[in-house]
Amino acid sequence: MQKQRLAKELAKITSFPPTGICLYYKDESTNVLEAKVEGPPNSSYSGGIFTLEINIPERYPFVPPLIKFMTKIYHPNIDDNGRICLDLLKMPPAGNWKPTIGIEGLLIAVRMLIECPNPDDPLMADIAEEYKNYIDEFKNKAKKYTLKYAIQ
Amino acid sequence: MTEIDLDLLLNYPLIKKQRTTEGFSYTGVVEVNNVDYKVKLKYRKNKFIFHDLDKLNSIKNELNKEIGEKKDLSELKVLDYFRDYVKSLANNGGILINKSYLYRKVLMEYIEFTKFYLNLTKCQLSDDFMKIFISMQDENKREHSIVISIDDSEVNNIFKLEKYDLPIKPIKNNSNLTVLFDQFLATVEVLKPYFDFMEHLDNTAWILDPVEPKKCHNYRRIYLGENTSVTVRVDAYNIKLRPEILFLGPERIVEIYRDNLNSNLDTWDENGDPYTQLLKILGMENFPEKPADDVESAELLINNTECSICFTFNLNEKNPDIICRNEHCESCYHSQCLYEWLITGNVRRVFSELHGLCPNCEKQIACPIP
Repeated sequence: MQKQRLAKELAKITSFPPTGICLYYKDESTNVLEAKVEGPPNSSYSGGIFTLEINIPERYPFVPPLIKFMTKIYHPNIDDNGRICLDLLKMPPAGNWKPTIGIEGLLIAVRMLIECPNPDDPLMADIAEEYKNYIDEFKNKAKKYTLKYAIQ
Repeated sequence: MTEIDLDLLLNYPLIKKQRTTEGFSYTGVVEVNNVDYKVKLKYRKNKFIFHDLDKLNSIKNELNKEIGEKKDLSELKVLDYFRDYVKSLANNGGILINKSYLYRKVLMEYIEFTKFYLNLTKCQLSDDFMKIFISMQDENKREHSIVISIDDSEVNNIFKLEKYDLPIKPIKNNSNLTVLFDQFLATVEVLKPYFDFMEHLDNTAWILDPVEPKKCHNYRRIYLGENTSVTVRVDAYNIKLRPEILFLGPERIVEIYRDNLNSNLDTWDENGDPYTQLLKILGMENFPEKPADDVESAELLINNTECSICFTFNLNEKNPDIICRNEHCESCYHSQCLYEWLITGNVRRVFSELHGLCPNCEKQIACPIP
């Protein structure tokens, strides 16, 4: 069941990839996928390409996949280890994962999170404070990180 | 300072009186109901004449006629008369004064415009005089449609290019409709090489994004191979410059393309044809063609009669047997899939059924317990 679903999800995302996103198997035997996400244009992350690793758990799609950033990024909702604070990635009642969402939906949500940080539910408290109070400084640092780690 | 000058200062502090060769001039603003109105008044040959009333020029002649008939007027009385006149107009819906002036201007400009441009495919002024819809074909039979709106917050430059399909906003507001359209045409002319290049790409390559390219999209995401694509972003106003190129895909494949690109980067020739140059720096003969829509790939796509959880139709010899009752949702599920999802969350057991929320629309849904 899981294999069939993943095959369909990948087929769709391959034929009709969403803006700035691509997805492929990193290791088919262990169910690890990799995604590349373009930094949204007109954001501090534009020009960067961010690599994400997606682990498909055995019980997927009844539990959400585990997604983390492999590329360093300066962002209030993404920590040093690449973990992402996004409600869609957690099981209810704490989170909002639903089996109808799919990997494509999650990646689109992650790209939107990159563009529009949510400083009220931060993973990195310091960065969130900076985002709220010293936006220019935040943008500078985010751009620097992007230049250093995410440019090809 | 004479007594009457002092009165002027006290009553109309924002009016400046100046001696001229023929008499006096009065310039400044008069405040009526908290709105400032610009006034230019002249006194010569024992007569007062309103020279320029800016926004209120439509009532200038009427005012001059009325004060011309009165005798023994002082400057104060003339300004009082002006103030009272504007006040009475303002109290009877004074905004109308400005608008009638505006409508007249729009109409005159529009008539002028339609006389000047005869080869438009569409040209229409909306009923409220606030929008003008124009469509035209350029020399290369490309269709351009724009909407010009009337910006009544502006005093002079009331014509605003509101909707257009070009990469960036090319034109500032203008007071003259024909001039504004001329500028638009000039921009279209400048962009011709850009349109040519983009159309060439659309016709020869498999474009993944944008799905329906428009003239405003100055980028194309081009299919290179499975899961691999390249995004080419150009400077629409200077198509001869090397475009921004971004590869997206598995590292081992992208690496090859990138190395290729890096070694060819310097060969970009700003005098050459940009399309040929692009293929050259990518190290390609041509782009992979878009395959004809085959049945197999269409079948692979998720369609809505499949189970919305496992994304298949046939699961263990069973077809989806539950449909969400919300008519806006109507998602299908295998009872086995739905059961497995519902038990992970908050559910009620009612006899032999589980009651929970549809994972798509979050309305009530029930599922038999196997």
